[in-house]
Amino acid sequence: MGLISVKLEKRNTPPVWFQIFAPFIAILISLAISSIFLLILKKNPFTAFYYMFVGAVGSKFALLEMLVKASPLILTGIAVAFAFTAKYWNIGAEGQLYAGALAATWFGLMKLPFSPVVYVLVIIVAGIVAGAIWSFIPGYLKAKLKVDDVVTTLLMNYVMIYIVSALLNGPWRDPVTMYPSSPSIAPNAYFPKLIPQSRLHLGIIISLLAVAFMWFIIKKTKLGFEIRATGASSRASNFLGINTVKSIIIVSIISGGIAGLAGVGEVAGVQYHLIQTISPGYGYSGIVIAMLGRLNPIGILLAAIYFAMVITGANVMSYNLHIPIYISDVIQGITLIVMLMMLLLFEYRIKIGRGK
Amino acid sequence: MALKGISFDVRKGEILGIAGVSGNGQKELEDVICGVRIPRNGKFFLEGKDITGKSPKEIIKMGVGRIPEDRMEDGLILDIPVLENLVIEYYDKVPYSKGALIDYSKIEEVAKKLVKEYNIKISSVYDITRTLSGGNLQKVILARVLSQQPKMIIASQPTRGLDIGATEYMHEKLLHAKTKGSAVMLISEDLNEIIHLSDRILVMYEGGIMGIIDRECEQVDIETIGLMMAGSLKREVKGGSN
Repeated sequence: MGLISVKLEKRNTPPVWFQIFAPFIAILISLAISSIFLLILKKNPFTAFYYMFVGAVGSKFALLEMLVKASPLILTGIAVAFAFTAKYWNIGAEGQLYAGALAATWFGLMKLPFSPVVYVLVIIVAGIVAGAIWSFIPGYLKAKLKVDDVVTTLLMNYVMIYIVSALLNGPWRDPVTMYPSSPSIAPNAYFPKLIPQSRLHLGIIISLLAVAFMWFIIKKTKLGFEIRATGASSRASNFLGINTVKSIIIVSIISGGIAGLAGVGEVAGVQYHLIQTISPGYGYSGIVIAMLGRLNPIGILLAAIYFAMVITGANVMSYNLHIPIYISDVIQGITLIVMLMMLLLFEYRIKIGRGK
Repeated sequence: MALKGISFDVRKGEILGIAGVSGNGQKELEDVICGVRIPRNGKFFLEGKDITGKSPKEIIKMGVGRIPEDRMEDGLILDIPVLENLVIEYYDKVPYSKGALIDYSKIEEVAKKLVKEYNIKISSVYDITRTLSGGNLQKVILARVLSQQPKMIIASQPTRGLDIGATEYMHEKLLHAKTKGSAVMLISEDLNEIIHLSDRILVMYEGGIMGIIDRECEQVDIETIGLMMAGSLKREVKGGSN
């Protein structure tokens, strides 16, 4: 009896239209699949998506709130995309974000006598350095010793989250409320508000700078070329004289630093103190955003905004339709799977034949 | 396969053919010279300078042009545009880049010139390299290597899998490089190619040298080479100052 053999064959060039429209198609397909869940809950998907849209961009308040959510997502998306461009699989943006948040809190709690501008710069630098160090460790291990990056970066997330947890349940526990959250950081270390009476803060500008930074590095610099070459073929890059060890280490540092920035923004721009749930998985969403944005800075910006819309919109949707807010996680997850499948199908063609 | 007791020299303006059945140490020899394998002992000199164990980058910089056996895996990065592959060994030098920045307009200009000069068939220098035919892929490597006027060229199986036109083109270019003063080392399984191009022929067997035939001093005899390749005839290797 013959078995059916399924083979994947690499296509020469994925069509150009695909490069541009794939993410949008992926979003549509994932919304269609999500509708099935809404139908099971006996809700009209169109009403649901209407509430979601209105909840995300329907009012000035909603829009600003959406941008508040977008800024850490842009940063983690860019962080992950930098790493993925070199095929350094940094799954650790979440931990690096916590490292950045920890460092920002640490310096923020010192209540240094700096002017706001200086103090904000200090905690930004502290957050970048902390994230970068946390990411450098697995980056170095990968580059020098070929230690599997997926495993190390993922597991180091837990290490950092437990370190934060230990601090919050120990030395940093709020002495007044006794909750596992740190006291407030110095007010002169707060990120300035961009619009009064809203939560929109400096973080969104930093995120946009990160988008520009990635575009510049990848498209215009030698380092960017080395990162792309390393990602496209590590073996050929080595042969052709590109220092792939250096590329991986540098990319791990940049990636971690940017993820750390996301943590700084959440502490200094939103919460003003460190809590255990400082990130509801922004680091992991960053992976989806990087893939959805096809590792392109502008694509990532759009993907992050879409995700921020889903997250903020899902609140309004669940409130109005009485459905669990976790629908937002479902949509995010389905979007990733659909996008990955589409990438696969367009880069490879499936050959089905009769095997032996 | 370990290389043992190998000692030979390649002279300026000659083609030294390395004959042998595949798997008798040619790939290892190529790797050592290209800088991707560090020999346990032994030395490799270029114009009297010891370049043993140097990185690929340093070896390129010293003036060694490398046409690797595996053009798809080693010689080219298939998923980047042709113009980047054309300059990938020296993108970091003036005028292709200044400081930390790459000057893509300059690279494009040079790439267009090379594409024309080497008759590479593409619609744009921004084409993804993977879309090129085997012969054109090899021409991209050839253009990259020869445009640097290397002191030494190591070409490993340079015409394997190419059609007649591309093969002839490759031969012509190697001969041209030789007349321009490069020392060319040609590793090939194709005995006709070796005999057709080489000034001297070195035969390898089980990681060692079976002998070197200098065509100035003696007639080439395919039978003799065949016996040497099979390991049943070993001749004294004279001289050999690395």
